[in-house]
Parts: sequence; structure tokens; C-alpha cells
Amino acid sequence: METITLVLSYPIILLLAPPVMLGLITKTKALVAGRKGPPVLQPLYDTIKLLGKGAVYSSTTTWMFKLGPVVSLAAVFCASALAPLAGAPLISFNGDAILFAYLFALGRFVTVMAALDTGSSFEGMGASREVAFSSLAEPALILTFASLAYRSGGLCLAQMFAPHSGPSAAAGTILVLGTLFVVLLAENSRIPVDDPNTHLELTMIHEVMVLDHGGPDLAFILHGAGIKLVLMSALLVRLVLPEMPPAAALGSLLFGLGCVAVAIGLVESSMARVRMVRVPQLLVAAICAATFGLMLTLR
Amino acid sequence: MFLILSISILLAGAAASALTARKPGLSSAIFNISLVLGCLAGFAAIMAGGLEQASAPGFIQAWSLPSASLSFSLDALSSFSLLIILGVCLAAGIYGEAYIKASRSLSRIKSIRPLFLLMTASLSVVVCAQNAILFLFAWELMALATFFLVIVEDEHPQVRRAGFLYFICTHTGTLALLVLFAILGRAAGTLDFAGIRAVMPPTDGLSALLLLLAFIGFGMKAGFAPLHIWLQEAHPACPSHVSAVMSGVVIKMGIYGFLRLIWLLRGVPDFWAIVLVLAGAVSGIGGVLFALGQHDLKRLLAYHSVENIGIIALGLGLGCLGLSHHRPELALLGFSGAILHTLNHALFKSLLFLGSGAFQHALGTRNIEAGGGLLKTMPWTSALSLLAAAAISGIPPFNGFVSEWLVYLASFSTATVGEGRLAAVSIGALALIGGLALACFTKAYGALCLGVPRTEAARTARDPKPAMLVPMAALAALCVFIGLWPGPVLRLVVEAAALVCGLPPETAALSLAGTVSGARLVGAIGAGVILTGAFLVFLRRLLVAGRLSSGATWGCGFTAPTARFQYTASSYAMPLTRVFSPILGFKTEASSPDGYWPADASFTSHSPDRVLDGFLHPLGSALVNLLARFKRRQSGRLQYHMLYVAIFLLLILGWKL
Repeated sequence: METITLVLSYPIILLLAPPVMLGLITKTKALVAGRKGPPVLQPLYDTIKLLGKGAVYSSTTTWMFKLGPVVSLAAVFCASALAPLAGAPLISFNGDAILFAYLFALGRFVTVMAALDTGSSFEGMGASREVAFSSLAEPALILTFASLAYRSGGLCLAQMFAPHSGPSAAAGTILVLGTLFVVLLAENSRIPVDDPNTHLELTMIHEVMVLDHGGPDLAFILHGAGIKLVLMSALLVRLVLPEMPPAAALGSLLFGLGCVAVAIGLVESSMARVRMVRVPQLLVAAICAATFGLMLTLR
Repeated sequence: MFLILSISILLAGAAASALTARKPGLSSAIFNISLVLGCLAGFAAIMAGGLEQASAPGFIQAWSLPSASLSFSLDALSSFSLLIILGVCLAAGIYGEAYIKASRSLSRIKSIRPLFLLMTASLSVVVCAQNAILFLFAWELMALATFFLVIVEDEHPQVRRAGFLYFICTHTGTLALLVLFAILGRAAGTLDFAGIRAVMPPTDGLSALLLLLAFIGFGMKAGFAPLHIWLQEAHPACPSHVSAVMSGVVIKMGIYGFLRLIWLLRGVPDFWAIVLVLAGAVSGIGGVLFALGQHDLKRLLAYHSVENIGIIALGLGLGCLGLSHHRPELALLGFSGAILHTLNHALFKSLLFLGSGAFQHALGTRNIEAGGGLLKTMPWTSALSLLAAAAISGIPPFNGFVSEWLVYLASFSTATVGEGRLAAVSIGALALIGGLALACFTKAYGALCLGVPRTEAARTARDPKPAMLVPMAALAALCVFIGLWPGPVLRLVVEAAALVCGLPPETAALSLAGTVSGARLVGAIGAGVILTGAFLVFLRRLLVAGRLSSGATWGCGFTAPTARFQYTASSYAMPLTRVFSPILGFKTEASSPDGYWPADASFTSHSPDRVLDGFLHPLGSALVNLLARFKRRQSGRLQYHMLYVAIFLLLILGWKL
């Protein structure tokens, strides 16, 4: 029974949860704004439609452009094998947290290279912003991982995100949750760092990097971005969930993912994106919070 | 015995190719044969040493110099370093032959071949020497050979300037090393390494002085900030295959020196660790930030050497921390990370320098803004450079990630000895370095190889000859191999680290068994990414089913874009250089277009080196100005000078009374 649940959990989390989470965010924003909004499954319909289309490639591009979508999706798929989702992760060893973070870096590397391959000024601009902001988000993420690792005694995601009791852990957990949420917003190009709904190329970050991708390539990219959002949200959820049997764990994880989606939707409805030059300040604040959390754990 | 054979072949080859320098064909043949044979003999020596397990008996011969002996031997650390030296020198030498022939200015210079062989031989002696005098002799020979290789194109003033700077720096370092070994020899009563290690008394009182001397002597060579000042000047000055060896191997001799010194002292105090970790963090972050501000490809790569030396120094520092706290596991992790990163950096950095040579020949300049679209016109060079760029950014599934991962693990183990602050510094620094290195290499690679050609030279560029591509391909294959299957290399690395810690190799292997199996899983997941990617490519082909069409890049409605519309490397790096401008001191000069019919407008930006251009040059000119006042007393008249002598003598007489 446990095995069946675990086996079933992966297709649900990796194939279904990403579009549903994105749909929930859009729905929340629409409801807050007093609109009806598109159906929750709209991102899934979009992906299926894109998969059925042919491909158009710019004559400027080379194999690098075609490499970007597949490697970034493959990287997040492999990262999902390391993350504790509905149960224990598929692969777990001391130091897997670093690999997890760097697999996202691999995805970023190929996405940025594919964007630069088009020779478009706008895509260069987006790539430049992406690497600038993510190079500040990465220390925040890894310092957060460090404080969790010290608390649990091992640099292993399964241990780090296992339930942890004790009053001394509470302050650390709150700081970790806060930092992880900021990193999640920054890495997944949400408000206040990036606005996924903007229609002006000049103001985009992630969207503008994939302007020239279409058809199955775009579907791969969108789905990969969705999985990244799901994985990072799942870590947040696992941090507050108690130990429970697999079926309940899957249910509560999915419920938790929904809550994170609604939270992101509420954040996006309640504030505007910050100016580009202010984004580094936000991320440095996250680094400071992470360092403070680490110091608190090490004390 | 193979070791002596290898060094003799290399030295004989150097002499023979120098004698036949007037006949380039013969000299080239001698160079190739002696390089290949010398390296093969060296590899045989390493294999033989590995088979015997224990350190090979070595070769000892008396030498007429006082307290010197010609003693060579290959222990685990020496053989690992020798492997790096011979591997990189072999690849760079073969590449270099084709590179010299392809360049009209270089093919006229006769000294490159003998000097290159001399450099290879002296590097091998440095790591095999078991006597301080022999070590210093080889160290000096290496410094001189590389100095003459730096100034081969001495018709350019900046090359002469770089050579002079390198000369000053390397000799300052050697001076510090002379004092260092004099102190060690005095304390131990012998200059043989084995003897020093056997009888060395605890050096508590002296260890601060020893660290200072080692930091100047070895740190200057390795390029620890703020002693890195010669690197970014000397690396661009020499021919590319020499830059590859300089950056890949020569600066690693500083790291080797540190490891050897730790081995000699058998234990280090706590503050060594603090100094090394801080130096590593400063070098790492500083190096990558200054790299972000560069447009000259080789200068950018030189700053990245500072960055990678920083990562190695972090590993060294954490290893020292483990030694001083008697935590063998931490010591082994730290030293293993440092040693493996030494190899990895040697591989991908020499590959990048070899690539930069091909790009420089094709474009006629080292400015990355002059490139663009080279992935189409120079497919092989660009593809191989892409692997190196990914590896140096520390991205799985390449080798750079494996060693950075080890240093991360060492940093996390630091908490067990209660050094939380050092752990936080080292983890934060590693994470920041990783992100910034990715930014810097996407910048350089994007500007050079991707997009549309910005110049005519880039449009007509062609791949170099296979003789230049094959060595690059070999280095790239090693980068991928270590990334996917780190097991075999890690075994050698752990042996070398065990030697530095003074542990038996079996104990070390046992205590790092978990880490090694973790590294295997890292490699396996890397392979998983590749397989998943291949599956997705197949899936995409099925889905698209031949419905392919081609169009122009979306220009937001503008239909006649030119190559100059592309984002430049400077603008790409701008968000980061602006954030870090207090550190970088980024300078821009712009004349904006004005009037109704603007004629000229220009924009230039550059980031001068903070230590060299920001501190040492002003300090130097201030000193010169100060001393110029005394120049007036130097009238050149004999009478005055005799008066000075008389006054001086009188003063001494008065003082004695």
C-alpha cells in the first residue's frame, strides 16, 4: 500500500500539481480582483495544446537553443528525485541538498545560454537580470539549507526537512520559512521580483528569456518552471508538516501546495513589483535573514 | 627510475631544441618527441609508484652544495601533482606546436620550445624534490622559465610591464621561501624533507612567522588576494598554451607548497585555518567580481584563477581546522576538496585558455565584444569551451561541481568543532562564488559564441587545425569523466589527503567512504540528467513530427535588426557590477550624443585592479615623489659625495664615542 501510494504520488506531483498550482495562483488573483478568472486547469490545457504544435526556430539559433528546454526540464526532474515529497526521497545521501540547489543552477545556465543564442537584445536583458538576481538568491537558499542542516545534523534533504520539535527550533523555523518564501518568489519569477503577467518585454525577466521558444519547447519550459515552483513549495510545506503515513502525507502535501499557491496569489494581489534596482536589496535582506537564522542555530 | 628518465628526457629535449632552434622543423620534431616521451616516462613512474603502494624508495645522490642532496621520490601527493603537471603540459605542448605554426609572430621566436620543456621539467622536479635546496633550485628555475615565456612577445610595452611585475612578485616570494626553509632547517638541523618531518619540534612560537612567510612565498605564486597582482597582467601577456600551463599548473605549485609545508609541520595551529579561510573567501569573491568587469578574455580568465584559488584555499583552511582540532574526517574532507579542485581547475582552466588562443587567432583580438556567433563558425572550439565554462561554473554533471561539493561538505562539518563563524563565511562565500561565476561565464560565452557575429572577423572565423582541437577534446573528456564517474580520481585524491594529514590511506578511505559513495551518486544523477535530456529530445522529435520551420528572432516588431542591437557583455554584467560597485570601483567614461545632428558618442568602462592600480601604483609614485627630494642632494659632483662620506664617518665615530 505504501509503495503504491509512493509510486502514484510522483505522477500526481510532477505532472498534475505544477499546472494546478499555477492555475490556483491565477484564480486567487482573479477572485481578489473581483473577476471570475480562467479555469484552474487552464495551464494544463495550454501545455497540452503547445505539445501538439510544430516548432519554429530562429535562423540565428544553433543547437544551444534546442538544448535549453530539454536540459532545464531534465534537471528539475532529477532534482525531484532528491526532494522529500509525499514520502522519503528516491535518492538520499549526505550532501544531496547542495546537488538539489545546483541542479536548478544547471537549468538556469542552459536557459540563459539558450536566450543568448537568439541574439535578441531583449532576451540578453532578461538573461542579465536573471543571473544577477539568482546569484544573490543562491546564497540565501544555501545558507538556509545550512541552518537546517546544522539543526538536523546532516546535509541531507530528507533529514533537514523532517519534523523537528522543541521550542528553540521555532525561531529558526520562522526565519527559514521567511527566507525560503522570498527565495521561492525570486527563483520562480513572481511578484515582487518579476511579474509573470507583464506584457512589456522591457520589464520582464524570466518571460523575456523564452520569447522565441514555441510549441513543445515552450511546453517543456513552462512545465519545468511549474515543477520548480512545486518542489520549492513542497520543501516549505514539509518543514511544517508532522510525520504521517504516506497516503495522509500525500494529501496534506497537496493541500499544503494549494495553500502556498493561494499565499503567492495573495502576495501578488496585494503588492506591486519592486523597481529593478530595488530587487538586490530585497535579496540581500533575505541573505541577512538566512545568516541570522544560521547564527541562531549555531549558537 | 622512470622519474629520473622523464626529467632527463625533458631536459635533454630542452637543450636539443635550443641547439637546433635555427631549423624550426627539426626543433619542432625534437620538441614533440621529447615532450611525449618525457610525459610517458613520468606517467610510468606514477603507475609504478602506485603499484608499490608505499612511497617509492626514490633516488638520492649527493650534491656538492652544502646540506643539499639530489633526492627525488614520489609519494601520494607528489604523484598526484605530477599527474596534473604532465597531463596539462602534454596537452598544452601539443596544442602549442600547432599554435606557434599558425601565428606568424610566434613562429619567429625560437625560445618558446626549449623554455616550455624546461618549465615542464622544473615543475616536475618541484613536486618530486625531497630536499629544500633542490626544491628552491627547481622553484627558481620554474620562475625563470615562466618569466622568459611571459616576455616572448617583448615588442609590446604591456608585455614587458607584465613580465617585470611577474619577476618582482616571484622573487619576493622566493625570498620569503628562503627564509622559511632557513628557519625550518635551523629548527630541525637538516634540510631533507623527511628529516625535517621526523625531527621537527612543535613550532608554536614560530608558527605565526612561518604562516606569514608561506603566505607570501606560496600565496604569491598561487595568487591569493591581495597578492594576486601579477596574475591578471602575466596571463594575458604570454602565448595561450603557456597561459594554460601558468594558470593550470604553475599557480598550483603554491597550493602544493602549502600542502607540503603542512605535511612537514605535522600539525598547524588554529589561526592558520582562520587566515586561509578568510583569504579564500576574499580571493574567491574578489576574483569573480573583478572577472565580471573585464572585457579581455584572458584577463577575465586570469581573475577566475584567483577565484578558483580562493575555493582551493577554503578547502585548505578547513583541512587545517580539522588538523588543529584533531578531527581527521574534517581534515580529510577539506584537503580532498582542495586537492581535487586543484586537478579540476587545471583541466577546465587550461582548456579555456587553449580555447581563448583559438578565439584570439580567429578574431585578432582578445576583446569578447568583438565576437558573437562563433558557435556557428567555430563549432568545435566553441562546443569544447562550453563544457569548460559549465565545469568552471560548478554545475553538475561536470567535475567542478564534485570538488565544490566536497568543500561544501567540509564547511558543514566545521560546525562539529564549534567554529560556526568560519562555517558561515565559507558556505556564504561558496554560494556567492557559484552564482557569480555562472553570471560571468554566461556573459563571456554569450558574447563570444552566441548570437550574431559583431565583426567581420567573427563572421569569417574558422576552427583551428585538429592538432589544436584534439588536446582540447582530451581535456574536455576528462572534465566530463570526472563529473560523471568521480570514484577513481577520488581514490587518488583521498590518498594524497591522507598523506598530508599523516594518516594511513586505508583509514582515510574508510573514514571518507560515505562521502565517496555520495560522490558516485552525484555522478549517477548527472548521468540521469543526460539520459532524461536524451529522452526529452526524442519525445520532442516525436511531437514535432517534422513540422519544423525557420524564422527571424522576434525583435518586438522591429523588422531590420543589426548585430549591434545585441546586448553587449558590459550591459549584461551591469546589474551586478552596479550592485558591487563599492568593491569594484567600476569606472565609466561616456560622451553622450548632443545637438540635433549628433556626430560622435562613445562609452567605455573598465574596472582597474584594486590592489595593483588602486593601491600599489599610488603608493609607488608617492614613494618616488618623496625620494625625488633627496635626488637634489645627488648633484653628481665628487666633492659633495666625499663630503657625505666624511660626515657619515664622523657621525659613526661620534656614536661610537
